[in-house]
Amino acid sequence: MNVTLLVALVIALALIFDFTNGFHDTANAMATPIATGALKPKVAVAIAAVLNLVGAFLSTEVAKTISGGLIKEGDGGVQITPALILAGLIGAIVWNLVTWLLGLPSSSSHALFGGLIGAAIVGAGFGAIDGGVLVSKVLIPAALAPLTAGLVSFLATKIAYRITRKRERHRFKVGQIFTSSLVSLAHGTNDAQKTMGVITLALIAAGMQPTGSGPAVWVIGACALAIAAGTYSGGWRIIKTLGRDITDIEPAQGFAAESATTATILASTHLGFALSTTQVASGSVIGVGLGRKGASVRWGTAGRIALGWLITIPSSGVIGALAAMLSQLGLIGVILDVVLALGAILTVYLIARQRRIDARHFTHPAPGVFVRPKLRKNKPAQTVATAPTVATEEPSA
Amino acid sequence: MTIDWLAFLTVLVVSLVSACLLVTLFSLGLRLNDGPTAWHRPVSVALFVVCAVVVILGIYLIVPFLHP
Repeated sequence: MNVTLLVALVIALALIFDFTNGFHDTANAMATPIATGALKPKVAVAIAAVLNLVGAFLSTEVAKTISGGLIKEGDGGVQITPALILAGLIGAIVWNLVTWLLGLPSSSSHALFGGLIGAAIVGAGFGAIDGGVLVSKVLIPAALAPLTAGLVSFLATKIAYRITRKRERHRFKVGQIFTSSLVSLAHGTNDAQKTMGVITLALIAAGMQPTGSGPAVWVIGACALAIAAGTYSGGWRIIKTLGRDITDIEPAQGFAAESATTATILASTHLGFALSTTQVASGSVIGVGLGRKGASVRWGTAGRIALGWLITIPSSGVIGALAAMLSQLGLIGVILDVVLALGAILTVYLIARQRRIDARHFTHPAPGVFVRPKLRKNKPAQTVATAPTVATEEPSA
Repeated sequence: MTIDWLAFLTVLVVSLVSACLLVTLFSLGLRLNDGPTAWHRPVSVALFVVCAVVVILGIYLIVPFLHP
């Protein structure tokens, strides 16, 4: 099989995955400031994009194993071929798009793990997977992440509401700008690394780069641009789920949620217990929903999200496995794989177009939910920027 | 299959303390900012400065080549 072609395809698909990773995860940092009106939607995604771009260059340490030890790679283990990586990427991309279409904040890393696991099982059987690592590094943390973040943000919300008075709380919006930017930067330093790792691994496997070398400059640049472009494109469906559908978020809650997310992510990366950013961010939002008196959590939505997490690895695994089976046909199979993947991307895009959700949904308050604020002396009247519950189409659209 | 429960507990405690600390500082800052007496405002500004320091510490932790 033509190795150069295969590597080129892997790079292209890895960059597409990076793009989906970007728009899938914008919500982690920017759903809450957009929901409270701390940042205008377009400004929020622009900040997130820039921080993701910068973050990708800031971190130089690339994940040594793209699968995080789930697949027994290297000597005596599975030979991860570029074709298997390609299949894994297809599984991850398709699942990321499906969950985006459904507005589910699922972990992009899990989608990538799942796709690679599926491909590895087809390539080398079930023995290729380290079940213990799967449980201890993915499944248990997936349960602990939202619980931890939820508890932290619950207490933080209680504190914020206990200390401040009502008329001071809108000023949490200023703080939100900083805390959400921190989440974004942390995301940028982590997530582009995965794609860099995938591309570098493919280049090494194809003998185009010496073993053990780091990512080339063009790889870093391309990955940084892809994730930044993805982030800027928004992923509004997931922002809507996280910012509006789980609970109604006030500025104090937004600040508490972002503080909890940042603290939990930083603690987990520095103290050796890896937690998924997406799951931490979702847990934080649920926590603040429980923490404010009078707020309610829509458990139906939360349950849908949890279900999405449960099936992420199996689903992207199945897609990755099917793609890997096809790729065993040789060059024709690989090309067929890519064509089918592009078809799936196009299909999701066309379905999404029928019911668009974009930045406009977050800028116009729905008619009928206006609450006229009390006028106060010597204070500018608070506008209604504090999240209306339902978003409707702009009348002129 | 081993779960490092000690590591998890450390993460839980550290994130709990740091997030609550930041929220407490910022909330106190807001509360004192429109306080009635003269000493309130400088204290609130000082609290915001501490918040800024916490955020800078966060950036320090995020960017790998700032720390070994």
